[in-house]
Amino acid sequence: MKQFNFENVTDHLTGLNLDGYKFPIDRRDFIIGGSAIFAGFLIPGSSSIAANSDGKDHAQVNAWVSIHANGDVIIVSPNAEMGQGTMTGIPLLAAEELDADWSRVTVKQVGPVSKEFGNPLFGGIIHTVASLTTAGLFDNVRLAGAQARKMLLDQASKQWNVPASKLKTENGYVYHGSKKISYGDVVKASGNVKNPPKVTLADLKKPNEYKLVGRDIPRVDIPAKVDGSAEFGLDVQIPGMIHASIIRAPMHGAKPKKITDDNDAELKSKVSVIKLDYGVAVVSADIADVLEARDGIEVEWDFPSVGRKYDSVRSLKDYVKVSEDSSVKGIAWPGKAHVPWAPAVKGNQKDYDAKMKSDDFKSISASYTTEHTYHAQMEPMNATAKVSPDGKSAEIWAPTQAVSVSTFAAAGVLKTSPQNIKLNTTFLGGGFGRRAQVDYVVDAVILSKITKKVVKVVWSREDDLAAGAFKPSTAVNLSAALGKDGSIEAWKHRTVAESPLRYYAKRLLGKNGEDILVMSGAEQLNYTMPNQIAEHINREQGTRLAAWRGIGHGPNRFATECFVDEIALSLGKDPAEYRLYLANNPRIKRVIKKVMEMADWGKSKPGLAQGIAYSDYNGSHSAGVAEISLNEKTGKIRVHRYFIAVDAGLPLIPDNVRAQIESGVIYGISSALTEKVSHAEGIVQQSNFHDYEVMRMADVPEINIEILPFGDRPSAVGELGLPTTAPAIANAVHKMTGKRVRQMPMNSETILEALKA
Amino acid sequence: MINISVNKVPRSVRGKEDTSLLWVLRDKLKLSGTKFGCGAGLCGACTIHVNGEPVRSCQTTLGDVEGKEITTIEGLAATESLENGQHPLQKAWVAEQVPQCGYCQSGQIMRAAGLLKKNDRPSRDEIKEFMNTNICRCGTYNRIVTAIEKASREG
Repeated sequence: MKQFNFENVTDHLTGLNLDGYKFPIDRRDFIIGGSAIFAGFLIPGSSSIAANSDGKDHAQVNAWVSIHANGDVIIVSPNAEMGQGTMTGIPLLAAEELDADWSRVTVKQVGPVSKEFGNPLFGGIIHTVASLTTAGLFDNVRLAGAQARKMLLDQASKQWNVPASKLKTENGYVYHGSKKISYGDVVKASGNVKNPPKVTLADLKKPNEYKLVGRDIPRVDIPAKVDGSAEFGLDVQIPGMIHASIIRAPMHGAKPKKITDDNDAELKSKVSVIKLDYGVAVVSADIADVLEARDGIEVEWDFPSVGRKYDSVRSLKDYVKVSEDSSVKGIAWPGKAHVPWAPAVKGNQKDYDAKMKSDDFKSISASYTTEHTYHAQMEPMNATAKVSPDGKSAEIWAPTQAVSVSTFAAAGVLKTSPQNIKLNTTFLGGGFGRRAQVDYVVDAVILSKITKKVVKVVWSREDDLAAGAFKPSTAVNLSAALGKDGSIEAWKHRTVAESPLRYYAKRLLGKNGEDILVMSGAEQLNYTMPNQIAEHINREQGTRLAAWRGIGHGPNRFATECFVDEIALSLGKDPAEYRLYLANNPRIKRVIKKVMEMADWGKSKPGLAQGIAYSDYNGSHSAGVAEISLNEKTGKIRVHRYFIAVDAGLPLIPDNVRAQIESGVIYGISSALTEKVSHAEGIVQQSNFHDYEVMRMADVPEINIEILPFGDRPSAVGELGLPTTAPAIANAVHKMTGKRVRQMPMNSETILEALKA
Repeated sequence: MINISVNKVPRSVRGKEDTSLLWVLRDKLKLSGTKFGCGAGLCGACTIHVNGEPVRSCQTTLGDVEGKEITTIEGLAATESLENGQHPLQKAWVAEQVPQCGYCQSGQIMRAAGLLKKNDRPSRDEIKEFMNTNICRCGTYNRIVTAIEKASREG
């Protein structure tokens, strides 16, 4: 297992040099046992539970599960809850193995207080990204539940003097024949149990034994989200707290040169203005004063030379040229060799060149582009920090996907150890990859350290967009050599883009500089293609970049799934049937066939057209059909219905899988049709939702979803709905108009231009 | 001091007339169920009722609401004197498992409650048109429509 190294996580923000600083994620003293450690909030709250820390009236079986004499079972949720349901899904797995009464389970959100909550797919840290929380924790959390059950069986066996093998468990009780005892009563007699029994994967249930998993269990966080009581980062209130807003550098690396404060004396007396390396902070007790004072402050900047030159229109034109110029070499994308969960890509340049030149094969190529897109999560960036008077420890309240990395970053700022940072993860008002970064946490820690107060940093929507970190813009050139029967004998994929990991997490780059955020989805492992090459040509532009829902799968699959359509049509074949011909395993064929059936493929009504696309995502599969109309006068596309068949392995909570797919589909269609961030002289040109348009209710299609269960393990869901959407729409546009759109977003301007071609 | 009524409780608030009502509710009155989304009247996350009408609290000042009746998500059920503490929309929101991240949902529910006050049986198209003001980035839109229809049927 590759251990990711999270050194220098704040370098790009603060210029702090943390070289040689080691984050002790594997050291024993980072593992804390016992029940008193939990810092977190309870859902549904039960104040009596928190007091039980003497170990007599409850058993803290392991880091995940504690069982209380009053019958309560507390199960931990360590990951960020941003709407994907992890706060329900992960505890549900422990409850399943424990045979708990789900109505007695209380879920407790905790920060990075125990190594056991770390995701093995991310080097053992808590990091809520890539739709891999459930897949990564699936074994560990079930083992925790099974261990608690075995402990109860052992204790009941002692209390009744009956062999444990004669006992069974169901819905919160241990049974011997018809005699039963509740879990609470077992613990009332046993108290805390030292050295709980060992369990292995062989002790876990088979899927046909599941009682909770596979049912539409309601999400535990929803009641608090309909009455206003759910606490998001921005809602945190700490006694003595003051507020801050930062006039942020308009591009990465710009530094404040001159500050002019035109506020009147009265307002000036109420606020502090603090010059930071990357901005100017305005701080006051009252948020209204902060916002008013901020409007009266002008900042002149020293701009970095690279970032200042960036023009997104000009650059994208250049990207297309570079993608088509094979003399510009790229970084090969090996897939699996870089990231454990990615597939391997295998190809041979000589064989590719020979086939592309040979008269025995037909060659075809095309280039596709996408623009920068913004996460537009509904809750703007924010965090609250309370740094201790000696500046060596801190408590933080943050809506963050980067649970562990937030503590590393804060420790880096304070030159202390992560054990001295207590993180409270609040609910996240959306994440989508943006909150995998920690710039807002760094803000709060720095300002709390300077002011020696509890500081809540609030970004405005305009800050959130102007200083946003975006999906990079991309040009993808694809070329292929086709055999006489339509087989794809050679395939080359070249993506030109600036690398997000080089901006904020260099340590996650592969050893040759591979960036999974750019290159995921450039591999075509589910289609038969004996020789394929994928490479990334990096362009340094000095912009702020991030992971964005679906990462490389968005731009790469837009290109590849349009290109597969182009190939099919050039061969005179039906695009759906051609995908079935290319598909190299039954799971792929199953989703494609299912969506064809759902959409009544090939029989759309007059005025409507259908397009199809397939995509995998981290072990899951999906096939989508978009049914669109297009107003040829205005260039506006309307998606009327979207059909999607998904195979995400074992669906834990089917309704939640459906909700996540609905979400991914809408996010995808929104970005396909309207979303675009542009830069001029390095400065973001959009400022709020009037000029960065996201999908609203009137434009939402009917979405039809079929879940096709597979096997006994869950795989990625949160991003799976997205990758098919843009290519399915572009393919439908071609079906309707005979014109090929190769650029995103497919807004009126793009469509009218394509129709003229 | 400016006198307002919030969720049927009279409150005296220290502040200037032009102070944004959103921040008064959130930070002075600690009613943080009303959310800050865009600060420009574009997203609807801060929707509340003033004298029963849905308005955007980020575009409303303290002076605008002097002497008026304000309802926030925290008081929606109580101000309509509902027995079990939940508005039919809140019940429908749970039944349909509408929220994902949940950040926009206070605003969505307040907007929807404003619709049902005027039109207790809205058509699907009327719902979509009225609710088009409120952004949900998680894309819970179709569930919102279903939940409003359910509440209007069963409420």
